[in-house]
Amino acid sequence: MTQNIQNIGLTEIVARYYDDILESSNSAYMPSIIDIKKKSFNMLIKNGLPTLKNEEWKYTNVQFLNKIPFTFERISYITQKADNLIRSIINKLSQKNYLVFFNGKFLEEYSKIEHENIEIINFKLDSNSLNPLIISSFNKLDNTDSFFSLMNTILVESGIFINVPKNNQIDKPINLINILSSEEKNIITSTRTIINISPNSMLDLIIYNYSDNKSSVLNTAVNDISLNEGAQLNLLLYQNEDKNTITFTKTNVNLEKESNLITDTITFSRGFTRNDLNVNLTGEFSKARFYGLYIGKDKSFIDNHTRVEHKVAKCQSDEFYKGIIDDSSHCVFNGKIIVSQEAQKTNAYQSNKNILLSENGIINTKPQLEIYADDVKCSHGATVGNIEKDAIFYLKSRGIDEFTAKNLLLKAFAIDIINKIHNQDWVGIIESDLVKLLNLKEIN
Amino acid sequence: MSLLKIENLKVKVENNLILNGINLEVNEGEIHAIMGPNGSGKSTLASVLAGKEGYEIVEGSVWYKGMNLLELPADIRAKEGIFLAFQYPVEIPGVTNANFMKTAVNEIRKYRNLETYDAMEFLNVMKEKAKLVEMDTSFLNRSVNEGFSGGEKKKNEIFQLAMLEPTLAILDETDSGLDIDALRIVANGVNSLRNEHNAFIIITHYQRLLNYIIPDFVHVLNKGKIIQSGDKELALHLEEYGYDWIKQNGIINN
Ligand SMILES: Nc1ncnc2c1ncn2[C@@H]1O[C@H](COP(=O)(O)OP(=O)(O)O)[C@@H](O)[C@H]1O
Ligand SMILES: [Mg+2]
Repeated sequence: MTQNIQNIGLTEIVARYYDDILESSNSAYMPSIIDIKKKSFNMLIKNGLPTLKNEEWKYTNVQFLNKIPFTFERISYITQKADNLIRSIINKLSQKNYLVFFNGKFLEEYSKIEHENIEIINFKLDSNSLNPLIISSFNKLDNTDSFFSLMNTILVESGIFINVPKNNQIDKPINLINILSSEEKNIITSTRTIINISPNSMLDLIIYNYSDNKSSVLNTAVNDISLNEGAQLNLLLYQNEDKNTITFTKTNVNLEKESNLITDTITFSRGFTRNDLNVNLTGEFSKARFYGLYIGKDKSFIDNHTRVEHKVAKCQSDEFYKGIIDDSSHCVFNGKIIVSQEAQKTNAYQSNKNILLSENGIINTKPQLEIYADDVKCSHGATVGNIEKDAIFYLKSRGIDEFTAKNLLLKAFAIDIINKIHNQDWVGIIESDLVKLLNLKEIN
Repeated sequence: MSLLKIENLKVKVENNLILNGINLEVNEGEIHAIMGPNGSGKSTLASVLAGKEGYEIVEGSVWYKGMNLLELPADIRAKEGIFLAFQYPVEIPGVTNANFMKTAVNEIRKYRNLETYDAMEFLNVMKEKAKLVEMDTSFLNRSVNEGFSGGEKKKNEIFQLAMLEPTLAILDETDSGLDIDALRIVANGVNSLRNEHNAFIIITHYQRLLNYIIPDFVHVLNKGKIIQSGDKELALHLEEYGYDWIKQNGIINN
């Protein structure tokens, strides 16, 4: 398992791993898990690595992955760099409540959780008993699964399960801190997070991804979230990864009656990022508000694919993504809204606003509406523009030079989303990262 | 002392000649009113002086404090003491009034080699100036002009004027759409800020504001040209005759 595999293509790399681990007679997994992994593997082989001909991957070229010699070697000893990084993040949190992961591995010694009314399990798939909710989460294979979420299911060995029991308002936020760092080897990491919020309970969750690599890291993450009746989740996904990081996330949220999702996806990563957010409104009066902000710098690629499905009547979805595209970066926004025939009295809003700062930047933005009900309020809009000239002149006419004026306006454009994040620690962290990323002047 | 001298200024916008040979001299301590029908070029003149882009200077020159004004970028003009109160102030979501003014004032002070204010000093100055225009200080934490009523936007222009203490302030129809209370507030603001070292150009459509701010000179602009200049009495005659009369007959003889 530790030898380097040279340019044989990603599918073959996964296949070799699969053969080694699962086809061997002494596999440690339970039969149900083996079964899931097998199914996933068959689907993955059948689908293959997506190409531009695939509608969902039209602007997202992943063929370069075949040229990187990935290894399955685990690099999970903590370097001094990683240690400093973890500590500096933890120091910025006013509420010390966090689980730390390094290259996908849970670090118990760095983690600190002070909750009584909550079940947090670092599960291992090769153990001989698993919570049924974990198994059923793994069992949810469907047509929204891509090569990469399937790959995650095949490769993942452990994960985090968070279960909030009934009638619990968990007021202290939980921070999941994922640090990736590799100095020489091109590694593959996988994380799996399963969240269950029982009726009338509430959770504040932050998933933070940071990386600092000298070689390529291919990282897949699958988050599977269930909001039961009357449950609420505030979820912040903040990605701040370096240029060598290739990340695929899939976040599935299922909302039952009167449940409420508030989520923000902030992507400042400089490498390759593809996020799939799938929101299923399956109970009446459920509400999902999902906002996002992406900043494309240098040669970064950031793709946000969202899909909200109104399966029943009287639900609400409110989507708002903003992007700044600079340098030679390429960003993609694809927002799909599906309103099924039964979903009368649906309210669905979608908006995507982009500022394109450079001639070499690319933005592809596309709403996709499939509406089968007739009593529906649905609006959508996408804009790509520059910083408003009138606003620049207004600022200049007050003595602010052009550079500072543009700074101020760019920051204002982004802050609009950042200020709506529910957690003030992270509002501060993200705002100062934004200033660094855009080379903005610190203005107070 | 001469502050501003406009000589035979001709300006085109999208290939149309909008300013057709403007001559105007403004000295320190003076208040000039410019009146004229809609579309006569008042806002164009104001924008050209403030440094807005997109205008083609066909002929003429503008001297300000001995500098060739038309060569300076808008922010340098502001740093040199030119201020335009916009006819249509711009909304800037996400930038608070406080942050906006702090950035502007500190940039200007840096340019003039003055020490920048610290947060406390600055807040006190802002509160004092907000009082001048009778604005509740809570507006300082709101985004610039976002969701402001017409009157609030105009008062905000005067607030900014008070904050920046310009040498030459140009007010472009600041009075339009104001009720009598707001008009009084705007006029009080201007009157309390005027002194022997600064000057004002008040662009207005109506004579009304000039009951509160007494101009030294009144100019009538028509079709991009100043066709008549006089004292404050001229404004009263204009009101009496109306712009239609001017458009047809040109100057008013009295
Ligand atoms: N950006 C522009 N593009 C084309 N025409 C313009 C523009 N700005 C002003 N104009 C024209 O110039 C003339 C003068 O406009 P303006 O200076 O706004 O007049 P006033 O302020 O006196 O009402 C009008 O005929 C107007 O249509
Ligand atoms: Mg005008």
